[in-house]
Amino acid sequence: MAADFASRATPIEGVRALEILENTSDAVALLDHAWRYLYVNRSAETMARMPRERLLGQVFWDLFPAFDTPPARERLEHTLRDRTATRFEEYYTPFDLWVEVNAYPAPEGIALLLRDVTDQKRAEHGLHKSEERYQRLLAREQEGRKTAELLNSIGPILLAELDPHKLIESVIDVATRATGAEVGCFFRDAGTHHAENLAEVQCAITGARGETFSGIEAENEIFRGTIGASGVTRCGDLSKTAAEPPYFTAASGRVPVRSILAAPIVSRSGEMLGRLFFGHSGKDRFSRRHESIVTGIAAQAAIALDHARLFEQAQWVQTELKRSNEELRRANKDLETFAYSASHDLQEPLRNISLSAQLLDRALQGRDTAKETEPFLEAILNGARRMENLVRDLLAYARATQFNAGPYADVDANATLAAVLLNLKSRIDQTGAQVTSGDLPVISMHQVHLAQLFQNLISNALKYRREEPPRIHLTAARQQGWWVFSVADNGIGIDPRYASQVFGLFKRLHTREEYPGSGIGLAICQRIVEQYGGRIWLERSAPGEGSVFSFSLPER
Amino acid sequence: MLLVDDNRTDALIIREVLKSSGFELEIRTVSDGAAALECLNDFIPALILLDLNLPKISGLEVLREIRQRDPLAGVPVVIVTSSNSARDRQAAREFNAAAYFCKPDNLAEFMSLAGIVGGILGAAAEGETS
Repeated sequence: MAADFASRATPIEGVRALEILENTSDAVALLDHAWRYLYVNRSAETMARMPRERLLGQVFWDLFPAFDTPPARERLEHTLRDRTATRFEEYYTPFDLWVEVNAYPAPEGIALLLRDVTDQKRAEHGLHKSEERYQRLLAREQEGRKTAELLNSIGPILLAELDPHKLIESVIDVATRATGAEVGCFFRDAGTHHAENLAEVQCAITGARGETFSGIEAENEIFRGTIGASGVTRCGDLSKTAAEPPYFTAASGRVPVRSILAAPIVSRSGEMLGRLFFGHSGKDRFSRRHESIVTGIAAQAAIALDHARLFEQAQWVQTELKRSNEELRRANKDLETFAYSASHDLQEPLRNISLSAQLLDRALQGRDTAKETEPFLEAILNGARRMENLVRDLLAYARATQFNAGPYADVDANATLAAVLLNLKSRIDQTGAQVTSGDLPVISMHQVHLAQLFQNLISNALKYRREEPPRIHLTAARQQGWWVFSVADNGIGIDPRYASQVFGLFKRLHTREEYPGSGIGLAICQRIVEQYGGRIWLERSAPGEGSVFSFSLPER
Repeated sequence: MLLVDDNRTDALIIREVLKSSGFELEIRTVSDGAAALECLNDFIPALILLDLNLPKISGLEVLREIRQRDPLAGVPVVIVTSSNSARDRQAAREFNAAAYFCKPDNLAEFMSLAGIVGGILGAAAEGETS
């Protein structure tokens, strides 16, 4: 029969064709009209897992009943009956084999070319599977990225809000929208971690439908389950766990909540700040993605709340600082007022003492007892005079800042110095002093203050002089927005150990007998320059080598 | 003469200064503005020595009141005060005070008040006689 099949061609061609047929990797079979095997090649034997002796003459469907599936049978019968070629793939279960079937009508019946395409199919299938997995991963990745983007976008918004109450409102608002929840609220943990103490839990609600839920009764069952928990709680259908609806009670009507999602807000220090709660009346409304969104928002809310709290503390500190500064300023002002009125009011009784003593002195003149009473009267007069000087200086000190109203004027320091030198003319003449100066600037301030600075520093230089005539030189130099004035002398100098003392009120380094004065001149200078934000210091000095005092005043 | 000063010691000193300078006029002394105006209802002095910083009614108000009372309008008033403020000096000038004397610490300087008072009284007497 095989010979018959080949004999249609020329003998040589027939032998050749048969040879090719025999050795081809495809299984080739020729069946008659009754589906009996007429010919099989070597590959067909391999595929059928039996030698050709057992195949030839046997009915195809009998040998391979598993192949007898409706589509395969139908297609092959179609080819046999209607004489048209067909091609299909079929999975042959017993051999776990994918077969590509090419069927052609033959004069004897039907010719089958079968090819094992199992590997190909498997590869295709695998590809399909991994493609699916890839798509799934991609989707998950995109979802994750969307979640991250959402969380990234709300981070700055939350961090910018420094009012804790508004912050929580934004958190609830954002999370409610992101999860599609119908209700969102926050239970502030009032220092207790036990669900039993729900009365201490505060509640705030926002969101599109927030009004509906205002005044949630916190004793509701569902909160017991969520508030104590330390992690995220997600439930798709509360009706399965809670006894009966409504599961969520509100003052303005009872709204059932079936899906819930709750997450704790824990500060960096580990303190439970409160809990976010989201609800929906539908079931299974919250996904794993919603869970990660809410977790992320809760983490950001924790940071933002910490931030807001720190800000609040910083602000409190600042307010407190401002308040105490203001207090200090007022106290200073009060002290000034006191010093002024006290010294002013002290002048009157002192004048009375002084004048009375002088009258008494006059009345006692020429009397026998005058010699005995004179030293006492002298003491009273001396005491009164000293006291008068002190009071006068104290008054000057208080006045140094008391009368500072009105705008600053452009003060020519050269002209001011000239006026001061005129004031001190008699003492300059007495001591034979030489006062020189470099070019001095025009400066914006109260003229009396600059005059007082010059007057006090120059008269000190005149007072604390050595045997030789005083030489005093004034200069001014611009230094980073400040004018630094310096007054240099060739006087007795100051031991550096006492450099910081000299600016103290009523501080003196010498006895009154050596150098008269109340020790207020430099204190007044300090008060004046500090009023302009400047400072005064002893630039350099050594006993017997003179001193240089400097003070700074703002350029503008 | 009327002396208005709430400081008893100052009043004592002023009286002593005037007395020791030879003034023999009667010096009535009151210690607040209200008492001064009360006293001036039935007493027209040759001169008034008026402190500014007074209880109840201030020296400047007393001065203004005096200038509005017909029999008193021409009485010379010498302001004797511890205030050295330009504002007080200006106000005293506006109400036509005869002199403004700032109380000094020194007795010798205080004595010059006698000269001022003497000058004013002398001028007033001259004006009357001529």
